[in-house]
Amino acid sequence: MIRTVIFTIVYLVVAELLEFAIIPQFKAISAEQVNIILQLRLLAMAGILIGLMRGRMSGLITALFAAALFGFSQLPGYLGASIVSFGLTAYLAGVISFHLRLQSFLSRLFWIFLLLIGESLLHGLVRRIFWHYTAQDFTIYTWIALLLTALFGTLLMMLMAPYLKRYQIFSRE
Amino acid sequence: MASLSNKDQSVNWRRRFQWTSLILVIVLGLAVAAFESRRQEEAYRPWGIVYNTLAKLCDPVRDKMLKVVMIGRRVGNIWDIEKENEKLRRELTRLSVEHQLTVEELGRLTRLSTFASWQIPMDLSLLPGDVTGVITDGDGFLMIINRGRDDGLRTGDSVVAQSGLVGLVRRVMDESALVQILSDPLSSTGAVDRKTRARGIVHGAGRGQPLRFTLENEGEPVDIGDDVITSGFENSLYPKGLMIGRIASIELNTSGLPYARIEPAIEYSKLDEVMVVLPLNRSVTEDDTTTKGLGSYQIVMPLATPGTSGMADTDGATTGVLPLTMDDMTSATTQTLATSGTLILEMTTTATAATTVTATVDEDDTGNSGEKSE
Repeated sequence: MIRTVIFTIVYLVVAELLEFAIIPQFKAISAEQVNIILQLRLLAMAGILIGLMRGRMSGLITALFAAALFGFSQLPGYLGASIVSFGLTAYLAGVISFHLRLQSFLSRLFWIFLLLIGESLLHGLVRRIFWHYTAQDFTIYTWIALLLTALFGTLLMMLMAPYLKRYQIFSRE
Repeated sequence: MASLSNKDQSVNWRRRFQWTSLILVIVLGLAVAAFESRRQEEAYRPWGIVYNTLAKLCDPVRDKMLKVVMIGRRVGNIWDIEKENEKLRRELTRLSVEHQLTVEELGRLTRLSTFASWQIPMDLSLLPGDVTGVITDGDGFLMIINRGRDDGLRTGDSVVAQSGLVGLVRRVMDESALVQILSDPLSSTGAVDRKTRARGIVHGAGRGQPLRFTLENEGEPVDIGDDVITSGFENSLYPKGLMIGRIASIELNTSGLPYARIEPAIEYSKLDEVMVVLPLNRSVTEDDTTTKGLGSYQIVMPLATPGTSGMADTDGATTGVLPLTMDDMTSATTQTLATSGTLILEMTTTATAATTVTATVDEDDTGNSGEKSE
């Protein structure tokens, strides 16, 4: 539990700094085609990772904190959509990890990638409902960015899972 | 029906709790999104402290990261820096030169604009020129200007500047001229005290020295501070009324006669622009190889006619132009310019500089006749 909390806090702080303090500086020098790194969904992935490793409720709580960081680091208009998209995908991550054995690299990568896509679509849908504008288009760079985020998450999960993950398949939640 | 075991019940409760939590989170998210969309910027206010806290967390990192990014950018552009520097250096040099020229031109235009207020006689015109060089030899002071024969200048034309008289054109080339400055010891002009109307001659006394104003009538009063201007009399080289200078002192010469020292109106060594005073009716196309007051004469000799004796000048040339110079007209003589078997071309010069060129046909009219006099 303590390890989970520490890992979550560290991950959220680093993700926050990366997404809102470090990566935007590259915007000044990057060409338009290099928008890949500007679209990493690190905070969205926080709940997904914890959900996969620690279960749905842990993922949900983590997603709430991640959504708060995401929403309060920008102008109003992102908080509500983040709560919905982060929370739902984190919960789903917990459900997936409960029913499936995600032991291999590719299986983890696949599900994390899928969940990130779902999160992005849901986020755009909620904003479209309430803000009445076209959500960000899914360009090739968006796909690549999500894949890179998923790759990062998979590597992190491979690293941290032995310390955090419990075998859901034999546990009763 | 068998009742559920405690464990199953707790699992059910847990599941219900989880689903309920999820639903609550979704409802919360939608409610917040609705609130944000309706209130927009107002939604920010209650949470300002959270925003500020997060900003305080991110800002230092943001600033540091920007520096790192800029360093990386500079390193990445290092091979373009030299090119950029070279381009900027050239641009800077060009702009510096342009700036200097512009400042100089502005000053020049400012100075020239003062000429606009001049009231010049109706029969005169002013031709602007630039001082392009200076020839000094002891006390002598000759100025080179960028106007010459092609611009209509003639030897003897007056040269003036913003403050007054500069001197006289002494030699004219095609595109430049030499001007003898008033302070040159060989320079002199008729002058008059503007206030007392005392007349005299102003002589140059050497470079940097005050001019000497020798009075025609030593009894005539002049005062220190009086302006001295050109008298413009009939035989004067200068038009009337040009400022020469101001009387600085009155002294006695070796004979005990008074003369005035005049401080020139112009600092000749600092002149950049001048004006040449030209008569309005002067034709620029006249070819002047003589002194002022004499016209130009060109006698085109006819081609030699086969079978007849053609015209030949004293050197035996039968074609070409016979330009006449001052040397040709210095005395009252009749000169034969050219002859043929039937035609004599003569030029007669009198002491009053009237010159007549006469073609005399001896036997038949070859068509080469004319007369020009001045």
